[in-house]
Amino acid sequence: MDEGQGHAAGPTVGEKNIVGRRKMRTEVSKFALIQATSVGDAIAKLSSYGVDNSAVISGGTDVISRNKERIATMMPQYLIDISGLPLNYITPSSGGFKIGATTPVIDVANNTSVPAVLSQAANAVATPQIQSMGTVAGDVLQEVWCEYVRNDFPCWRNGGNVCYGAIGDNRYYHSIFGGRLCYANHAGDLAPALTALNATATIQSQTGTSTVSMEDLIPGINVISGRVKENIVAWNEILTEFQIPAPASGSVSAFYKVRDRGTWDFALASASVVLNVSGSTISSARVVLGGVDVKPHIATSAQSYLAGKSVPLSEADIAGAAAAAVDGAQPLTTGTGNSYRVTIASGAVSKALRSIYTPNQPTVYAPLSS
Amino acid sequence: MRFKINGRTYRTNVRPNQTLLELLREDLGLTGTKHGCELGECGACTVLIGGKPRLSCLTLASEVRSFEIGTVEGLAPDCKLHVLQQAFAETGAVQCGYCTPGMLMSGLALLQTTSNPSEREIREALSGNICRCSGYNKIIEAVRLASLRKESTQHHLQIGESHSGQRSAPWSMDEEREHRMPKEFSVIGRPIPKVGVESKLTGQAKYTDDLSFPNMLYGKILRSTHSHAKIVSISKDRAMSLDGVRAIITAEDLPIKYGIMPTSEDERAFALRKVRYFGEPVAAVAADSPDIAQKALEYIDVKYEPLQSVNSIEEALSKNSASIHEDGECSNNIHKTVSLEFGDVEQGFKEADYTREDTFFYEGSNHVALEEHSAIASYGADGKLTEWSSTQVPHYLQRTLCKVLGLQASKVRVIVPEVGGGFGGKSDIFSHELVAAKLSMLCSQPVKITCTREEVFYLHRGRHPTLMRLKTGFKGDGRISALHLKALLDGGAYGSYGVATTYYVGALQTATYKIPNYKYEGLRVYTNKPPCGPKRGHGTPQPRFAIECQIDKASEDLGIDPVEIRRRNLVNPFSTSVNYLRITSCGLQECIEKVLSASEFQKKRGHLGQGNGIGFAVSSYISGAGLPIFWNNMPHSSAEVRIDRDGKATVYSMATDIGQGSDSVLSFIVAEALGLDVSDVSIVSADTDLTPVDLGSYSSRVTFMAGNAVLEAAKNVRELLFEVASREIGVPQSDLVSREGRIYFRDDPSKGIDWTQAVRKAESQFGALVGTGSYKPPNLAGPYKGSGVGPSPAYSFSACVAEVRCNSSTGHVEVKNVWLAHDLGRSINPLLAEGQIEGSVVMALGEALMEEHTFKDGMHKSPSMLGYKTPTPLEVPEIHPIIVESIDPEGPFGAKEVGQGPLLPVVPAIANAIHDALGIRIDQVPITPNKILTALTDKLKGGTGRVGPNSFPQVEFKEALKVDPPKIFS
Repeated sequence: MDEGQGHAAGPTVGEKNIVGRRKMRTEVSKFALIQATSVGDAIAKLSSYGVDNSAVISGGTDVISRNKERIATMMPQYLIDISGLPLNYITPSSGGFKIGATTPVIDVANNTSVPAVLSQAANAVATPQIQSMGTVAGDVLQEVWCEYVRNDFPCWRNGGNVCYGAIGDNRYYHSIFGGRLCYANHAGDLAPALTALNATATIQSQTGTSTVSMEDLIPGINVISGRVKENIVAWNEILTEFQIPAPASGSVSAFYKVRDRGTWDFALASASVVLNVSGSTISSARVVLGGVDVKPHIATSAQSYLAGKSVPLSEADIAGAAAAAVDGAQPLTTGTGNSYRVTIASGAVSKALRSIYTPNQPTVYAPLSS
Repeated sequence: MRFKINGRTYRTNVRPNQTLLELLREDLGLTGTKHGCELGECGACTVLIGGKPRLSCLTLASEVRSFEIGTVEGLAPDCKLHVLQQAFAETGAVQCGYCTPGMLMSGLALLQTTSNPSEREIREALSGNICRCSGYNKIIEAVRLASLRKESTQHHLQIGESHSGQRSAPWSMDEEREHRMPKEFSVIGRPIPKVGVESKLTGQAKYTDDLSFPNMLYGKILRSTHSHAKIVSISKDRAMSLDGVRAIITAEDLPIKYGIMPTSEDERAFALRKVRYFGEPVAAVAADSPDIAQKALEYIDVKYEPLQSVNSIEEALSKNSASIHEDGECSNNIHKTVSLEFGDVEQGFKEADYTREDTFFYEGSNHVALEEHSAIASYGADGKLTEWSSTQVPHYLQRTLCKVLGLQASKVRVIVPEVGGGFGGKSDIFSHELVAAKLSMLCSQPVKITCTREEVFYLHRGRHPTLMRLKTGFKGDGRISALHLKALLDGGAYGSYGVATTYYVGALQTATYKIPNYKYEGLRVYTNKPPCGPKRGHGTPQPRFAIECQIDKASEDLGIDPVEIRRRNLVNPFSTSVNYLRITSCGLQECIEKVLSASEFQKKRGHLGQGNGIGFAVSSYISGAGLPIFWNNMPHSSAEVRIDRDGKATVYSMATDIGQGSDSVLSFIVAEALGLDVSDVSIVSADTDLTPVDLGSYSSRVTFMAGNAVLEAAKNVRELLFEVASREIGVPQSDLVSREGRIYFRDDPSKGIDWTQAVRKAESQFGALVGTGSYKPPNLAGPYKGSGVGPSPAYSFSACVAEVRCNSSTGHVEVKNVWLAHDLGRSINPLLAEGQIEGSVVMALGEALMEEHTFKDGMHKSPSMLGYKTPTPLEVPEIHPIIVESIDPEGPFGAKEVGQGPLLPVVPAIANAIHDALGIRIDQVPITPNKILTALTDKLKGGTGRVGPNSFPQVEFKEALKVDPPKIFS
């Protein structure tokens, strides 16, 4: 496809001649790998090296590929390795769970005790190899996968002042719920699931420790330490742990991801659903969409729609919730446009809801199932 | 630092930024672990760390010391194949072998943790490993077979441990299969595992980048970061001053133009004065290490003056656009035009009862052969250049090296190591092949250049994006009375094979259907994008998509069954087409009957329920181009067969095994002809010093042409033995057969002589036992200019039924089943043939549903295997390959091609199935969820439910050359 210029001719979008700055992909660039002896030690080291020069590494799947992609603003010279710190655990805690930041995604995927929405989301992350390398915190805090960002276009995240996605090819990687500055989707699958579970995250900084809700962890586009990003974790802070509160009794949950292929790809849309059921009535619901907004998108209309409905849900109620889930959608109409993903997001919600009451349904778009 | 790898302890120094992959391959010489993307996107580098499959390309070596590492080298430490390796060999799961080590690691990790895994579990476990050859299903089958055997034998699964792997020879074959074997042959038609499979399964097979030489330098190419710009200056002084930099070269050092087609030699190794695509080579460095070479690239200062970028067919044709090639007749960005008319199209349309006109667009796609291109050149004090390259065309590479470097052919030797897939992507000449040679000549040291995945997207040569306007006239009974195809090809910045492609888009319509009046107008434009070239099916999948979708539409309008309308138009065996193609053996009818009955197409069509559908299409393809690329009268393929004193045979052929199995096919043909066991035949291939010329592995020519050459060579040397045997046993030579190690009287096998005995006697009488053979196709060109493209000594035929399930809320298309029957003349080896069919089906699936290049002002936005999506094990349908044998009168043992043809009908069959499922028409591939949902929305609003190009630019084609149909046209 030639952006806006293919045979289905449209206007040329974006500035001309933004090419010319990109570096070719190659070996890992030179850096020093420094083992952190504690979280405090890591924070001290990051602080001393500075925002442009240092970053945390654990699983490495995102850090190393960004380094190889030669994105100018994402090639720190000092990598502080926290993979050796005792942050790899899934521990039951007052009816819920604590999950350490460096826990491999695959451990969550294979854990049969954590709520279904979370293990299913973990199971939908990238490939088996990436699941066994990548960490929980890495998935939540990974850089966006907007091709303009990853190709070092001088966009907001790369030090420029334009979002190429908003006016260009936004079919896959950009918000259908509006935005400001950068429109790139939050990419991970775990954050929407954690949001649906009302999880909290602990962040350690130079000044102390704070625990924030998922909504506050990823509030959407803001500027942190001079960087345009969607989460609030500064370069010299460490997200150490997620806490998942005890589920209400009678709570059921499910995750459904729509992606181009059965593996690897990021969500065209995902749905994380938690229903708290008393008797045969839904007392409250959480419906969170992934891959469609600059943050995990809480579908409040769908949540209120579902409250009070009886289970198992009727097809009409499922359709109603699916429609309500995309209330307020503002798909991009500039560039290629991405309104088709509104339909997909709605479809993901209905699939997730349906899977709760029809066990053994696949939780990702799954070509083999029949 | 210490590592424990495959149970052994290694002590080595590690750089902080060194990946585990680099450590294994470069420092420890464990080159069995491969690289295909460098970004964790292909799975080729998968190793086991602490028993878990991980990507060694994204793992820092210094982070893994506390774990045990397993690599493919540890699977068979005592040279006995592991149960999993054995299963891969027997099921035909290995083609090029480049994904195999990673697949084995992922498969092993699964078997270690899961007993009796389900098919779904196997697919998921392998879903991070991309394979481009096999279509995955044979790999899945192999893992399942291994898991069953593991249960029954308590096989050890620990890496690095010896185990009781039994190398059963001859290879075991299930009884049912054995029963179906043709009795007239010992080797032909048997599912014998491919030649060299053991080395590919153990990591011992050496691909170009696995080789290294003492004193070797590392070359890297600086590529343009503009899609269209003047080069104002190139300053290399700063880079040259770096320690360890040995040479830097630019266009001035390699000024001679070249091109694979003699009529369009428009490329240089480096851009001269201006760059024409993002990624075009501008300069190159040879240095002591990759790191230094990389740093030197960053120190080369190139100043550009940007020019307007020409990004599409429409822009290229616009009078307001910049000119990409100023010189010659290409100043208007038009590279090649073809205008041919056979019969009288106007009259044909007049005679039509029904005419329809449609516009289609077929997106471009890349081969994504898993092995990235690589070349090593070594120039010696004797003035001789030796080059190892991952190429499909050693002969053309040798010629181009001679031309560009000014060397005699006797001073250039090209050797092709194992090749990790080609699909047409390695059949052109590439800058790095010439640059490595020049750097080696300047430095008198070997120089290696290996491209990254990103660079492979820039050197490209993939499928041409093609916009087509198709007008077809039908009689009331569905017979075609006239067909007029107009095609615009987006060629990218250089010619490559584009002249041939432009012809091929128009050449083969008449080899599937009888078309009495046919007009083709084709035009290839230059754009500021990576050059397009040949990809599996070369120029023919695009019009096949258009025609097979249109005939489906016509069948609805005419109220004729979609199969019946095709039947009424099929070519006849042994006929001549309106554009003078000589059709010989043709099993298309049988292909159609077999896919229809296997798929129950007629019962299912229209009755599968909302969202489910089934589609049908047919096609044909060449078994080798009838003419060589450069004009000459010599054989297209020559070969030798030598017989040693111990009776073993060695085949010499320049045909290049790129994973498709040509080494196997040629060896099996010779084994059959001589009556030897396959283990008694070895092959030396693709070495320009040692092997007689074969033009290369392209145009599906090897089985037919090189096969005929080796068969003739085998027969010629056999004649010497028959002469001896005839005298010994008193039976005329013509009554002798050679089989199972004996030469004997056809009517009384007891009258015979042992093969080795005959060999000794023959060598005593004649001296060295060598037979030569050659193949040159008959002169098949028609009596008109442009008739060189299309003729082939034989055509293959395919019929396909695809069954899909579409989700109308997500727009996803799941291809559930593909039945593909292919007339390959004769199946030399069913394992390999099925592998070609299944691989073709899955490659077509990618083109149909997902593969797409996206550009921004000429800059590729997704030059990676994550951004550019190819099928994984999880999208692959159940594939039902059906082999149809028409026994071609001129093919070796009756064989024709099977490597490319099966791709052609799959894409339109899927598109037609989607129509059956949802009632929408997507006239543009890839058929993405976006397009499906757009069409469904349109249909809901009362529209036609069609998504596709709506206009075709006004193009002034040159006046068509009118050609009278052949007199014998039937």
